[in-house]
Amino acid sequence: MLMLCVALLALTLLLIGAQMYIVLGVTMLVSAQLFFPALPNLVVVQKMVGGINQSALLAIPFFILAGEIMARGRIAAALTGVVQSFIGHYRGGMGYTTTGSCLVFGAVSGSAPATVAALGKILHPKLTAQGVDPRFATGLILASSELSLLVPPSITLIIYGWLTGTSIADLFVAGLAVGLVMAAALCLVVKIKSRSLVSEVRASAAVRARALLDALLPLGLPVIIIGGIYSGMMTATEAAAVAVVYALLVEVLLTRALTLADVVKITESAALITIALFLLLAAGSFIGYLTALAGLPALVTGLVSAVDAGPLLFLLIVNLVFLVAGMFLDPVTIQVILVPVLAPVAMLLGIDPVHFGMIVVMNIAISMITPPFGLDIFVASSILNVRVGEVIRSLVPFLLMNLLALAVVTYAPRFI
Amino acid sequence: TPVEVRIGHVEAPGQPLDQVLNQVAERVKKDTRGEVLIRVFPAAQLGGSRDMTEGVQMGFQQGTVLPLAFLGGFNPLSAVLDIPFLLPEDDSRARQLLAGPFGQSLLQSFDGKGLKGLVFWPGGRKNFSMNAELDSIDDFAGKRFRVMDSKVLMAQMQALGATPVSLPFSDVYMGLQTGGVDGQENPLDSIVRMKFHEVQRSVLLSKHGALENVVLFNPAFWNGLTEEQRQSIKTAFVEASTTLLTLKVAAGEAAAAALLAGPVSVTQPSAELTEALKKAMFPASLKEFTAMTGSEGEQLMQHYFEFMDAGN
Amino acid sequence: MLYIRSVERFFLVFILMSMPFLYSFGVLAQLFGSDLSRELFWVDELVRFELVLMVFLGIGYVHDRGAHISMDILQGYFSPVLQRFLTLTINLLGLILAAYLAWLGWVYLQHMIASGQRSNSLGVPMFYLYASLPVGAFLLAVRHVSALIVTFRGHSAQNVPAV
Ligand code: NA
Ligand code: NA
Repeated sequence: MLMLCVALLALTLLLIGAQMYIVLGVTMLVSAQLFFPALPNLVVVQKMVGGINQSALLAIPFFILAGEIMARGRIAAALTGVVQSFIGHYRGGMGYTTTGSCLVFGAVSGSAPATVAALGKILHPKLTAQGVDPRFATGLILASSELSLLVPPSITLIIYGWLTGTSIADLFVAGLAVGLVMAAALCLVVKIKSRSLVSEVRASAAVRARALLDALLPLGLPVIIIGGIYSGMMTATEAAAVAVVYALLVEVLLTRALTLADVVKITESAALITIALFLLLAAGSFIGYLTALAGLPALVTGLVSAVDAGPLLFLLIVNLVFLVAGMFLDPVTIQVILVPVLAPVAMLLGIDPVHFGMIVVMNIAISMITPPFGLDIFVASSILNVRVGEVIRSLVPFLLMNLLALAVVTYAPRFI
Repeated sequence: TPVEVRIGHVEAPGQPLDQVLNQVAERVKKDTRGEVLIRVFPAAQLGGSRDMTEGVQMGFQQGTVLPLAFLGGFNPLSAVLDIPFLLPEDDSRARQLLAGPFGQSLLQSFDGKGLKGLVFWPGGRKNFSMNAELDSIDDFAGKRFRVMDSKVLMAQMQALGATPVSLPFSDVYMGLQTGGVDGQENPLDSIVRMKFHEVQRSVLLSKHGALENVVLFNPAFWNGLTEEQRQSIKTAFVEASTTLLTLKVAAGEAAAAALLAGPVSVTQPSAELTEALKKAMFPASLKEFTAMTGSEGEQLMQHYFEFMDAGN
Repeated sequence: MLYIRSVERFFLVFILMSMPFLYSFGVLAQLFGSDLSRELFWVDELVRFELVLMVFLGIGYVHDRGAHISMDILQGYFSPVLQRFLTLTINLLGLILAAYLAWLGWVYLQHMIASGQRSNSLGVPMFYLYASLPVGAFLLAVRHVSALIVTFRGHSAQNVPAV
């Protein structure tokens, strides 16, 4: 009963538009007071400060900063240009270009809304100019942008690793694999849809060479990030830091695409995003603590064994819980609330932590384009100047495809 | 109403330390006729080692069981057990050392830090593994070894001509696999559980270091218990230390058997090699330790040498 | 207020910019010179501390820029009177929360100073880190007070999204 009141309080605060730190902060302090009256309230301070004083989280501000620099400088555009010059001429080539560009841009930016915002305005007119149905174009951009959560470096994966103590590098390997398969599935949809379309002129060797030459310095970035991590020369955090320095070197000193004043603005905006995110992570670390004290993981374990749910049924429940939560909450909040409860149960059932991470992150990616509250839906609506209802309609086929992919990722490893 | 005692640790549920802690909880419940109820929180559910230690100081939780290697920031003297070849090779002598003046003054050193140190719990002996053959002291030269974040351990690797690298535990497998680091040190059961042997060529049964845990309580909580309750808890924890040692030794033997069945070459060091390792590593780490802790550290080491001299 | 804001802005930009450079310096030292890297093992800790300081000291400034995460999609449907009431409620709750956190943080800070706990690598007192929460929460509380005053005077709350 009390529990229900607390949940109602949280929902009300959420709906009247209170900032998420107020929603989480008020709810967690009220819960601590109601359910753990003997617990000293000072513990809040320790959980908030200690919770974000963690090496595993350091890569996040670096990747946010690197992403902002690349998006506002020339690097992102140059990388997208390479993709277009090589695959743009196939029938429906702009469709492949959209998926490929979002994959590349999303890989470095790590943020689905940022990818929609940065590429949506460029890609949507090009798609419709090639004869693609505008509604399909919107859906394709959104669905492709989701890949940024899976393809490394991914902040969502880092947060999962932080919450569960799973190796970030292992998560990145798996994320890359799943992201590429999802991209292939999207390309298949494009192929089917674009039978009736005209194809663009094939880019000449000179144009391709030009695009590659333009991207020569920018291509150093994926080399540093992916190569640095997988060769064992650097950890994910180290690669992220070096990526920032390299991006600055290219944008400010070598190509002079950005001035120092631009850099200050970009850094400020990265700081705003980082602080807002970490305030939620700090609150989340206290929520995780309360769920442990309440014995929630043990409770869920008990329920799972009581109904004799094996791993399969458990994973189905997990998917449903995430999909429903994803309709209302933002990606970070979903993770910090649900993962501490569900991950220990998954481990006990013998589910591999990396596999479970893929399921969690795919669910979160899908939640960004799930109505009623999908962050990307609103971003797309404002960037492309399309009504929200229209965006949602555009997403229906892609949502179905995503759910299918989720089912495959969830259950296939258990049968292989 | 019964006293609720929250005790957290960082090991996975079902590991020897977790098993034994749950046995202690059962026993304390019985011995105090239900007056003291211990709740065990595994897998860093209450926070990482620093958070939990701070939590014990502040009374957010009543107790914790943690490797001393994590406690350097709270009590510099706890780094003493990072010194390689410090504990006698014979387990029962090692327990004697820790039960005697050396161990007692180390426990007492927590008093001034807002912590009540109750007893040490064994965590196993560390062995080296590497991605190449490892059967002489020269094999360490120029290699990169992952160690826990401790200056004493860094000094130990440098004394062997290797480069120490501090890497989070969860990233060690990837580091070994990609060759970012060449080797590492851990008890055999951890090596097998974390599958490090899959990405290493050889294991040297050097038993050069010890992982030792300490049981810490909040002093105000401890002093608030009745004498009888304190006695019950202390007895349960002290006696459980023997059970844990048995379990750890068995886990180590099972892991050794698993390693021997696999492709990794497992080497028992010759007496000369062990002596050479000790001669190189012990003085270098000891020097680093006394540089960090000054006269307090020297006093502690005096107890140590008295015990070792008396044994010979 | 404007003065505080430009100090905060300078601080955030300076801290965030220094982090990747310090960290990369540590990486390059590890890759190219093993002796130097032994001297630089504290970089990770320093950069982590910078991050914590930036996060808590910056929460007020982030509020000014309207960049805190919230779900404001329903707000277009509320009547102006209701919206004004909700803005008052939200800012009042925010003020209570921020003031309470500032006070808790202040008490905790006293404990940290007394305990003398030091960091693993740098060996600096840990209370520096913990001072960031009470200061930051105070700066946030100030923002909620000024938002309350603005709303009382009848202007609508000016939360212009920055991102
Ligand atoms: Na990404
Ligand atoms: Na959603």
